Amino acid sequence: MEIEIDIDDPMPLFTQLVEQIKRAVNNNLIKPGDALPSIRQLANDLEINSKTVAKAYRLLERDSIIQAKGYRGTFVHPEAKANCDFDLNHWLTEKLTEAITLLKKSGATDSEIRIAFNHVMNNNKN
Amino acid sequence: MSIIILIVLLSQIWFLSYFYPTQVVRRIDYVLSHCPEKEYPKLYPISVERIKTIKICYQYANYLFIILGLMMISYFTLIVPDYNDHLNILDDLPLLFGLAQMLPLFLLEILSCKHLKLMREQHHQNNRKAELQPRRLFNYVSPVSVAVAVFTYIVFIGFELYLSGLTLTTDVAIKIATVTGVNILFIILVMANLYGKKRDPYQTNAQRHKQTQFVIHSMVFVSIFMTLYIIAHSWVNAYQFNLAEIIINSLYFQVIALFSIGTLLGRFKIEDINFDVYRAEKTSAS
Repeated sequence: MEIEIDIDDPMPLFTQLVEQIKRAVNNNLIKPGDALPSIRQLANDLEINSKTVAKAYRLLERDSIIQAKGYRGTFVHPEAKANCDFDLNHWLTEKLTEAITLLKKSGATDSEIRIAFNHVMNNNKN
Repeated sequence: MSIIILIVLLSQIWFLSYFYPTQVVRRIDYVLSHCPEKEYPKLYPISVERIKTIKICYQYANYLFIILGLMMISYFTLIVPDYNDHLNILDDLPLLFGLAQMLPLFLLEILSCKHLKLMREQHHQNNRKAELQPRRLFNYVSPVSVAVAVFTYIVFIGFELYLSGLTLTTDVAIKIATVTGVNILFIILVMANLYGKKRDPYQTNAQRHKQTQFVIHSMVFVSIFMTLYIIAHSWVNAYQFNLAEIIINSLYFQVIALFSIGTLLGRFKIEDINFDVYRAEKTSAS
């Protein structure tokens, strides 16, 4: 199984990696439990910065598509296929739309919502 | 000079300065005749004339070592037939001469590294591919071979300490440090081959797999043999088997050459290499 990136594509490289790994899981080209190359190996093979691959792996791990098992390496998550269908951005937009609709119904203005949103985001920074 | 020593030294000259260099030159000639610069421009980041000059220099350097080797053998056989008179020189002669015989190949290897570097600099590809499978050591070499290498290393340390009466003398410490250093270098080279960047930018995954396998196999076997050689060397020194030392020193280089160049030439038949990846890209007429 090979992945291919296009460095001239306007889509960021880490997104290309995330999308292709998700597609490989969806098309059963890689199965749950399969080992993935190390960050260094993949970065060297694709001649890209290892931070780019690390970012892609971090996002995939967050979405439970892959799982890191310390020195043993990185593997495809047992629930990867089910989790591939989950679109975090779509879910986020849906939840925010629901919240904003509720706030507007309660009489809050756009600027009040923006100020409150920024305030909450700033307070939740790690 | 003993007839066995004579045969071993002649064999060293033949293998290291004639047989393997001839095979290397034959490969260069094959590429030059089957892959012309016009059709395969990616293979030639430097001019064909320069490659031919390098090839001729390599050939002449090896001829020089054949002449030097034969002169050396003639001197010790005909002029100074008494082995005991030149014990110190003769003991290390195969080793020193072997190192000198390897020089043209080392220089050729350095030039090939530069050649590949130029190929990488000229290679600009926007679409990049990678295998989504990890490369692991035991995909390329059996765990038994690695275990034998580790075991030989432990035996070597034990043997050296046994010979020195279980005391870590400066001599023993230097030997252990040298063998450890060389093994660390091998580990670094293996890691670079497993996880590092491709040296040849046009190499296919299948070719890379084959090359990595060859490098790792060679490193493991050279490590085992180098350690065995040091053990044998210490043994003949401890028990004053001076004649055996000459044979061991000579055989060491021949076996190293067999594991490295011999295996390379045997496994990578030039006819099996896919040169299409170096062809000029066809520009479609629109």
